[in-house]
Amino acid sequence: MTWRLAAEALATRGDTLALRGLTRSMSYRVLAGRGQAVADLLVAAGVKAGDRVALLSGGRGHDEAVGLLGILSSGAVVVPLDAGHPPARWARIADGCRAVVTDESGARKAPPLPRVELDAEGFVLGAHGDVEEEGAGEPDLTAVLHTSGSTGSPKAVPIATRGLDAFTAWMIQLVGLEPGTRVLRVAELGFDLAWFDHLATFRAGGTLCTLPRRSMASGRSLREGVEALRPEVIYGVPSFFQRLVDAGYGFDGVRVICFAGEVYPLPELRRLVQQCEARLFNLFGPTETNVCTHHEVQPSDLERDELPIGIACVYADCALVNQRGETIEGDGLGELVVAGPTALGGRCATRDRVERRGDLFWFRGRLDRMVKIRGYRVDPGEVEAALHGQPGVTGAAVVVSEHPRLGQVLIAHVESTVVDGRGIRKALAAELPPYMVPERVIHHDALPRTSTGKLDYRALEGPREESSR
Amino acid sequence: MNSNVPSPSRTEIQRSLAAHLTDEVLLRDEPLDENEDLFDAGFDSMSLSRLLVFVEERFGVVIPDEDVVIDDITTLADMTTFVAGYCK
Repeated sequence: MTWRLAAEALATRGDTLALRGLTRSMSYRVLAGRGQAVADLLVAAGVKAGDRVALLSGGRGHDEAVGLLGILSSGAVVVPLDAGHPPARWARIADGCRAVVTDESGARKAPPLPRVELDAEGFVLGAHGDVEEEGAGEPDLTAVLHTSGSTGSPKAVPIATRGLDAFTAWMIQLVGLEPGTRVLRVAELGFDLAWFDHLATFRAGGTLCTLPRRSMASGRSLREGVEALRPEVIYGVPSFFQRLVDAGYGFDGVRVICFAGEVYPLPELRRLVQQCEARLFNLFGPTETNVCTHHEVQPSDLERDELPIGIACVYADCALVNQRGETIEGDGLGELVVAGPTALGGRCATRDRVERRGDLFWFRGRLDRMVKIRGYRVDPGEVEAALHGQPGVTGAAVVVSEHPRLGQVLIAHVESTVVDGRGIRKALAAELPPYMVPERVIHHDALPRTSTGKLDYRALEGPREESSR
Repeated sequence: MNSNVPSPSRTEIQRSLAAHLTDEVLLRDEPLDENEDLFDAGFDSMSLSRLLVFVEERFGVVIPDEDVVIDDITTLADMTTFVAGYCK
């Protein structure tokens, strides 16, 4: 039978710690009880199996795990809303949701849906409103995540229950998760990395260790918080581990580190290896397929200048396809196409350029314009569409630039009758997630174009200091 | 800092931090109250890096991220006191 997170099964873990914070912890018995209370209220409000229910946790408290468990125990599909994103984006993402589960701080700005409101410990404060119409349910799904889309709208990515079953079973084995294993919670639920933190940990009976949002902000608070939680397993983006290394974290007791989301620069990886004795895994795969290849970092890798993405995961059938759509046998370079339960049972063309050499896959860039900003994927087309919606803007081109302190940042070049970079950034911040708001807006009377009239992106790349924000 | 240039006053530091935070970091129109909780207003690790880059350019002092203890700095007033300590 396909595994799916449910309160009933978690209750049998009894007094084992499910959630650990800097000040409060929660046993599986209590987590299951509070999650079931949320599920009962959702069902009473008219939520049916396969209905979408939004989840918004403003404070990063234990309410998020309780809400997640409650929504899934009711048979509904979770649609996570990121507390750091503007309410206008929540409204677009929650379109089609039948209800929302939120904490007190989220409730003030949450989309107008029937809601269950929790305190920071996941205790129900109140339930308001009933689901009015019936909808077409999606009973095979656990979640719908939203990433940056090229069309100017958030792209909805359905996450199949069967895919998470295969992924979490495999990860539990890879990482050696056991009852009581402490796993650090890193990513937010809208990001696929977080589904290891929550689902694999709860499936194995491990303890999910959470830092408050403000402790995540600066180096020393982050280091002291992580030291206090003493995690054994951490799964995050490379920039998160770079911050831990910079902050002087000693990785005491950490036995497995998994990273994904962007390429780990080799000099940075060498610094990490010098500070820790953990096994290191490079995990690879777009949100649409979850992790599809993996590689355990070997000492010999550190002497090279790039890291392979490794071999296919047991549940993922990974093939390379050339421009004519033919499968490449043996060594070669093509588009990675993934089949299996994490790809909704179908075939997913990832738009990732991948090379196979011998036994290993190597990442060779994207076939579209998608870029990674601190591990988050951004389609510059979505940012350009938002720029086109601003008054006076007649042309927009978004490119990536390397900032010495901030890393990869987005630079917007706009052709506009009004010169107001600050106003444009504020308007975009009200619509887009923070990582999609360009660091700088550079005004042009006319954007550079090629002889055929297309935007000349190449002419816009590289540093330029002459214009103001 | 160059010894010929007088240290900026606390008022001057607070005014420029406030303007930078609202206009470039938090990207909002409402002014920032000096006792408002920055983290409730959306301040995060990226915001901190951006603010430190600004302080470096504006006041010519370098503050590593690790020196900032956010349990001690939660408001604009705290941040002003902290930055002023480097601008002497």
